[in-house]
Amino acid sequence: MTDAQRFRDLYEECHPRVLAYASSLVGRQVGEDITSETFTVAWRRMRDIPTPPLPWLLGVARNLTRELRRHDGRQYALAAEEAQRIIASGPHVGDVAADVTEREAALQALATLSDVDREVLTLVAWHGLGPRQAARVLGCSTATFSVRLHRARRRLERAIDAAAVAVGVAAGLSRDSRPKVTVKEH
Amino acid sequence: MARKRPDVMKTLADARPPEFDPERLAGSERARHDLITILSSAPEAPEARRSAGFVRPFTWRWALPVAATAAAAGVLVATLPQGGSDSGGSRATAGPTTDSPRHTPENGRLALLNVANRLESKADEGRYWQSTTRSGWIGIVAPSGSAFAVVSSETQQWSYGVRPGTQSLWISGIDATTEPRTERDTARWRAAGSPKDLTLAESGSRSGGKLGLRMESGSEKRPTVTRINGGDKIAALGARNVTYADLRKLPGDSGKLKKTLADLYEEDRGSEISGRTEWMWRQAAGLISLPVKPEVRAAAYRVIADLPGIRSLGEVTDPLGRKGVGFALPATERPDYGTARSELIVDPATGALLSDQQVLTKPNAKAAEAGLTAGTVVNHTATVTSKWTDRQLKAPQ
Repeated sequence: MTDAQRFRDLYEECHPRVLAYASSLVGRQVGEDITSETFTVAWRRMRDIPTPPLPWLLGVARNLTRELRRHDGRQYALAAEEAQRIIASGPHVGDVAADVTEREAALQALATLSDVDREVLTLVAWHGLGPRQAARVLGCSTATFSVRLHRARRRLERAIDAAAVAVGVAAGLSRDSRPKVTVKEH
Repeated sequence: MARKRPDVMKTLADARPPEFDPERLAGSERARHDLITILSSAPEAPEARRSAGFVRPFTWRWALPVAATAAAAGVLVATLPQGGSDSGGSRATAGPTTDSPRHTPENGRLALLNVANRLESKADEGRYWQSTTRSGWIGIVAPSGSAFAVVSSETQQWSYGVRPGTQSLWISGIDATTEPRTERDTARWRAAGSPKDLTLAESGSRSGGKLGLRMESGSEKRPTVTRINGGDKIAALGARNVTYADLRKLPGDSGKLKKTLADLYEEDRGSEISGRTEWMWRQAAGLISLPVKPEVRAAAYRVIADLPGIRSLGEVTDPLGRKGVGFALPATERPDYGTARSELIVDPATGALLSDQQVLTKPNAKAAEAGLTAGTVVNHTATVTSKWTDRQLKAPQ
């Protein structure tokens, strides 16, 4: 197989997942740019890409995002805010009410956690990585990641309880009542 | 709670916004276009590419005006003319009470149609379409003491090369300053120990808001020159990067332009701009600053005039002190500030876009603590000049 063929396969398989990851960090528009840049790097370094490729690609996307943050903090902040806005806009209408409440509580709880905790949790829950793969994205050992995940998960559980109480699970939550609640960090 | 606790990771996974679902993101036009672009660049010549001056193979869409007003309606300026008659909450009503009856209909639609009709039709073309903007935004800093506001402002220059082989440049960070907004803010900043580096207050929904800002006064930092064309693609329309030829092909009929934008909206669904009205507003306003035909600029105003909820503000003053007529969309929530609305200020005589800005309508607690009130312009981009020329911008030394 030529490099170009391998790259096409890689692109088809991983592009949507890299874009999903980048969008969750910086919104769709800047996320598209980060994704383009990620695959440009991948093409240049085709022969260095390990198997499976996804953790490596997400690691590149993550670094590019940090580079943007250093290089242009203002643009980065606006982009990151867009991502947060998507998250804060909550589950979409048409979902079953009880589920919506639970998910909304989960998103609110997530928003109260530290950046580190959120990153660990979403790599697993949203981007579908196992501990080993997620550890590669973050550049830490699998053991370290597992410990971080365990702790982050405990904190998320506590925050969900707090958020659920604050939102009032039984109070017939409407979409308009989204995150005005702030839950103290613990 | 009587219900058994579901697995928290499962709940979180279920709560993933659909915008981050890879299945929904597969197979976009942009993805296909990027693949072709990447494969057409030689992988074996990374050195050559590096020495070409860090040229990115892609246009960073946020660096372009369409995106700059979209994603970054935030790069805009910040202070109301201080001490003027425009301060505080009186601003929104400044129009109707001014003495010069420049007759602007209260109805936003009619007023904008008037503007569109007055657009100058002369189109002197050159090699470059260039504009200079002055922009600023307000940041709220919440140290352990009282919250205060800082204003960041800077001048930017845009140059779109429209002839084959010309480059498009964006020079940002000219005369960039970040300083306390008022004397009271200065006092609070001093009380906090006069920190050079600031951390912006976290907003209600953005807990990752650890944005750092550095106090600076003009000339400390050198402007940044960015090449913004990717091949012959010079601007962004919706989710696409487009060429000058594409821009010239846009219809001057407002019905057709609306249709074009509506199609682009469908394609760009899931982008970070929420809501069709805001999206159409951003795209149409962005078009006005691009090298499009004057008819297209007029059509863009007509598209804006037809948006639901648009209202006229009568005669208002822009952040650079120029008089114009203002138009606004209904206010929406802005996590950083409270609620705010998007406004355009237009020179009614020429149809030139003077300022694209976000104005606070109701400050949240933090914003109020930092002295922001209804009527505070929390960010703006004011266009100082825009013209055709044959001379490329000189990069500052």
